[in-house]
Amino acid sequence: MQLSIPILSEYFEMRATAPTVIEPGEKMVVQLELTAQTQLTLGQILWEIPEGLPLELGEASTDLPISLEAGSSWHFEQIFVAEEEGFGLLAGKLVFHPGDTSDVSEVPWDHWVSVFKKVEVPVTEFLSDELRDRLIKVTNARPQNGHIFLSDHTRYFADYLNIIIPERLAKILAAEFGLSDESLPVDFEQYILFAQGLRTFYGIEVLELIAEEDCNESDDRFDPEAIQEVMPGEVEIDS
Amino acid sequence: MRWAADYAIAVELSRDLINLVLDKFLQFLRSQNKHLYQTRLGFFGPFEAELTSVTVPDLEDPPPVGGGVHTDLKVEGDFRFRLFGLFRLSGGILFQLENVSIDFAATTSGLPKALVISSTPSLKVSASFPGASWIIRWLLNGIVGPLIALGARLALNLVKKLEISVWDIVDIFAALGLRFAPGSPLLTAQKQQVPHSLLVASNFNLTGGAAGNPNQLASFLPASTNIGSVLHERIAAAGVELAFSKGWVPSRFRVGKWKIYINKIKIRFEQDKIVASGKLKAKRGKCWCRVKARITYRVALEPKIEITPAGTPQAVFNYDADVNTQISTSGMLVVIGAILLAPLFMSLTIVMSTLINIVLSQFLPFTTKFKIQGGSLTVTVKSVNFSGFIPFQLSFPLQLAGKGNYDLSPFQQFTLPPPSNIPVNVQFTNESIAVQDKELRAAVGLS
Repeated sequence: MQLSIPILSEYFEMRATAPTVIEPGEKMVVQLELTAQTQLTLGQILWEIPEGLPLELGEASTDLPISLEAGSSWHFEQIFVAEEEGFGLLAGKLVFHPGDTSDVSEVPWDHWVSVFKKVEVPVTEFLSDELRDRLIKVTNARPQNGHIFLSDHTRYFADYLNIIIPERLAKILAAEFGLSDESLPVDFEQYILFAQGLRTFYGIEVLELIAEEDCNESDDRFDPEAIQEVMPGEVEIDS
Repeated sequence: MRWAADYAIAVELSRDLINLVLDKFLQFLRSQNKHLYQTRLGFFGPFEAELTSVTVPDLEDPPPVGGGVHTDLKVEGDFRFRLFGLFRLSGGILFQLENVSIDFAATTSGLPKALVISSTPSLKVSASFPGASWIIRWLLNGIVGPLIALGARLALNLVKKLEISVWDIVDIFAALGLRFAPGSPLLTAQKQQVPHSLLVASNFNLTGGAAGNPNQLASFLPASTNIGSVLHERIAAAGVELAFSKGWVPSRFRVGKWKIYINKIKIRFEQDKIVASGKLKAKRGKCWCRVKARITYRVALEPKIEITPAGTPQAVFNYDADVNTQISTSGMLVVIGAILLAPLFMSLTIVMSTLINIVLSQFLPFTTKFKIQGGSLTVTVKSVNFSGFIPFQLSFPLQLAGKGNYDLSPFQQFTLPPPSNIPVNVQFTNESIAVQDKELRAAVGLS
């Protein structure tokens, strides 16, 4: 999905658009649309690619620096290439100075990028180990992904994991999870707000997924810590 | 500034309350006809006095070593005297007892249960007759007064102490399995705020957390209240964990098609909020995606007292959500309600039970029943063993911006223990519940 992120500053309005998921070998384009509110000089754009996200910097559409008058628009494109699978938060930073001053300001933003081969899952089987691994790693990578997953799991699978769930399976899953009673999934507008990081579910700080086999009964117990009267500390029982 | 100076729990009794208790005690004496004092003053004749009021005019600060408080006691009465058996005299009599000690008799677990007024080595008793005409006053103040005072002093020294049981400040802490730390409870008085008051502060044997600072104990009662209690969050945390561990409140439950397991819960008091954070697991059983969810949660409610038009007090609350950027589903709100039930119920009930006698020892253990009706999750909290107890009702909203409530009407009246059985009314104000960093305060006006 192409996700557009609004970036606000007192000097300009900007939208940064990038796909949330691409396939290995595919080209990714990040587009910036900026409308200046005052006179500005755009210095440079810095990109930070985290480890685990296999993106290489490609061509950029225009050379910087560039001066802009108040009210004028600016369009910029940066190409990235990914050869392998991976995922992470691509961070961008626009360095500029307003007016004729030399006070340098910076405005950061980020894009979530997943690089995976597209897969369509069959209706009858459970999620395979490899795909489940994809689900767990991406969802646990940052808290907001857990919220996006909860808001609309079908779109999340497609937009963040490149796993296409056929409609029939989506209906079966919705019934199994009892989602309609919960007014889930959320409507498309809300889903975008979740993807942009502007919406969360109240009360959930972190949602972590765990493979079903990795968790046994003892992990379900209630752990009373505050009623301890004595702290034994590190106990070593010698023979 | 901490209300309770880092103590686990502190109770403040204002002088108005002590006088109220003494007044109730006098009412009781009157009902038993024990408020009359009759004697023969040798050849002066028979003397009769009727007690009309007993009050404490002041509380002295600092307290003597070992705790307790020294004060003066003022006893007023009407007297009738047949001088030489012939002349009838009557009027008002005033006893002043200086340097009386007021302390608490404690239950086996150390919680105060009765006011004890006893004589000290420096006790001084004087009787005077304000308002009598000057000739009579000469006689009465010069001769009769000292005789009466001597008689009273001898009587008090024989009796040594007078115990006025206040109420069964139920050993909720013993019932919860919390042991008092050595040196607890500590009794002192404060004279900075008017009216002056007694302060009782205690600590418990729990790991972690600071011990209280007795030099920083000061008045914390808001206006229009005469008794208050402050609970530190570490006691609320212990109460909540006990409620889960003992099964009074469920730590695992089913909501829709999901099984929820609460693994950890931690209570904190922040400015105006009761916060619960921790971890839980959500499982679907056999799920297509073959995963379980482990959720780190943080939810909070902001409690306030509201008095309904009929005069019933309720603790109402809303969640601390930002409805512009946060949403929730009804299933999630059911889980949030189930999580916040113990923090809300245990904190408020523990703190109220130190002020009001509602026989909580009979209430524990309790069970909870959940029901979804009319857009709310209603919870009924009932005693397991004692069916005569009116259940507590709480309700949690199933919309994020909704309001929940804890009905406090069971706390509106109680009776002093036998043999007095005198009823006491409880007045709530808008300041009756307040939460600040690490502390929850409850305060009411008893009458």
